Amino acid sequence: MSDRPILDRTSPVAGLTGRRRDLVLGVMLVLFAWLLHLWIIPWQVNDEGSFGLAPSFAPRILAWLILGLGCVLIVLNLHGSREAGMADEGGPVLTFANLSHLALCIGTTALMLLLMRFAGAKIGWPYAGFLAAAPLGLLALTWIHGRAPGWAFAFNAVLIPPAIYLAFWFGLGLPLP
Amino acid sequence: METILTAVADALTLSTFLSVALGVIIGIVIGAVPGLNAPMAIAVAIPLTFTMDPLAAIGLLVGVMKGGGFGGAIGAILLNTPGEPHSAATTLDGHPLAKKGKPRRALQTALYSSVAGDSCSDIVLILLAPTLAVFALKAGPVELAAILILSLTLIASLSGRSLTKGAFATVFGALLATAGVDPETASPRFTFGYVDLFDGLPLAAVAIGVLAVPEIIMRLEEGRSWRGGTRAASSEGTDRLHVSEFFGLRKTVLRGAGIGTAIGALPGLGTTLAAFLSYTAAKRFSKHPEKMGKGALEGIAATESANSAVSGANMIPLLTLGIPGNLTAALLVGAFLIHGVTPGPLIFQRDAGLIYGLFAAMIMANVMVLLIGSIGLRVFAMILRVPPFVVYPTVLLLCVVGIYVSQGGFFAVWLMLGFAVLGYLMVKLDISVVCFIIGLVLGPMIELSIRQSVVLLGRNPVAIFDHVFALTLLLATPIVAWLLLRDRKRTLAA
Repeated sequence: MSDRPILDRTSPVAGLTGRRRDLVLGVMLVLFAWLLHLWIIPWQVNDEGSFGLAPSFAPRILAWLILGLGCVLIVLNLHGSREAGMADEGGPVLTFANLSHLALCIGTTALMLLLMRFAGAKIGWPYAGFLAAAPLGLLALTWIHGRAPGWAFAFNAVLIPPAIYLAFWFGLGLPLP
Repeated sequence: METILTAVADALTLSTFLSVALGVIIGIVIGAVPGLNAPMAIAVAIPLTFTMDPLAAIGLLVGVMKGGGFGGAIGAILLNTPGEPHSAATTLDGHPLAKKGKPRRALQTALYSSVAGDSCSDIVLILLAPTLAVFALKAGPVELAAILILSLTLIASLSGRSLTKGAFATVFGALLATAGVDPETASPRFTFGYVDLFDGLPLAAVAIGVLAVPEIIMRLEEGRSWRGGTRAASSEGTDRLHVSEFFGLRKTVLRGAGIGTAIGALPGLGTTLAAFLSYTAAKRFSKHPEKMGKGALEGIAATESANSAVSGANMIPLLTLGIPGNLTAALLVGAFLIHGVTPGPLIFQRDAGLIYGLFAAMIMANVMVLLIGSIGLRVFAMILRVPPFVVYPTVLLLCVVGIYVSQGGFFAVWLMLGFAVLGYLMVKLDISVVCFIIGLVLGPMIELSIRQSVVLLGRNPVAIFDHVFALTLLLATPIVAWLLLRDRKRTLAA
């Protein structure tokens, strides 16, 4: 049997905590800065026609700063400065459970948006997309909370969407999909 | 004098009174919804004014503007879901105090500071508008660039536990803010072929995405450990702000009002800069800086007095020069024109009656915000008693709806979701989200003013000596940076 600990859902992602996390962050910043310099800025910024500072001036300066800050993070965390030491003292930790919860929440909201958009376009009535998708989205988000009693599902799905509909359409005259 | 008295009498009619009250209610309600803000509230309210007489109409819009200023603090304090970037400063101490079971105390501090800051800037507007406008006109791109660079240096002290990661967050925010059409050549930058990005990243969507949505996701995450009851046990008696306590904040409020008025008088700088500068100043001069960020009343008072003071001061360049200082003021120009009033240097001669009536309506709106806000405090504070499985799914839906409505489509909502992922990861990696927002808001202003300065100075660095004020500020910047670093080292050593 291996002595290596088995990572469960509450383990930090790739064991990234404290100094090690900031060291990896520093390396990622350096790579991101090079990516900006070598590919993204030349691809996305056109300097032709400028008469003062070039349009790429600010993005390039900022990319250099990111490169410098990435290097500083690497050096600080390799040499164990006081600032780097603070990263080891508690603070937030990114776990696998965090990532799966994030994916669940964002995925649910994204599905709600897609349904809102396509139901709205398909049915064609004002607010149809919202009234079709919002109750389902709220049901899912209430379920994600994990401790909601039965009445909360009914309350959120039945009362909240009509209340928002009334407030936005009749109260403010603002359109929803 | 007769004109002034007649104008004040016009402002004190029942129709103007009711219009201002309605405006304040609309402003507070809309300002409290994540994603909706004061400009949105004014846009919604403008059609209501079409059949009103000019003073009642402008009074209603002024009421919306002032009500919206306080409304933004409600979501920021109670749910840590700021509706606008400047409200992010209020969350720093407002939400921790609400979490300690003192939401009403936090809201009272925000309300009173907001009204005090707004009143101070209104008094300055009424007494000194023409004089200040002349000074504001002299602040060109070179001076603005110097002010912004110095401000950014001052605000750097909000970078949290790691200065390097705070600096990265600011730089990253500024980098993302360069997306959109280049201000000089009109060629697209970082738009990746999306026409929706030509106007740049929608600030409201990004702010809600990185600040509010991650907070909602984290509160939903806590759901599995929730054991029922209220999330913040509010205890009557201790959850009230005593007059003596607010009196003790007078220096912070006056400082915030001063900063807000100065920033607001200069077109284009905005409420976010004022709020964070005031917070930084409050932290610097506080007797207990270690309490800042943990529910200190000073933190709430500093940000709310400053961001509310901006709204009154923004009227200085608007009324005297016809230059709107921000989006809210730009919408007010539209409303003025709809009602046959042209802002500009001649307004005090052409429409003197209306302008003095407007001043009276502004004071009336401040009183209304105080009255209506005080009545509403008990109701607002009750939001914390609603179970999280009802509040957070609803607030997330309101974020989606608010951004859809304010940005006019799904694109901004998708951006909001993308930035929610970024915001969540930033929180978990201990990177300051506040610094990211500061970079996002100030970055484009600094870039624009520097590029304008380069053209203005003819690419000749020596020409900066013609701008003594700007030169002084630029020379002061490294000294300020050194002082801040020294303070930080002392704090770390302690």
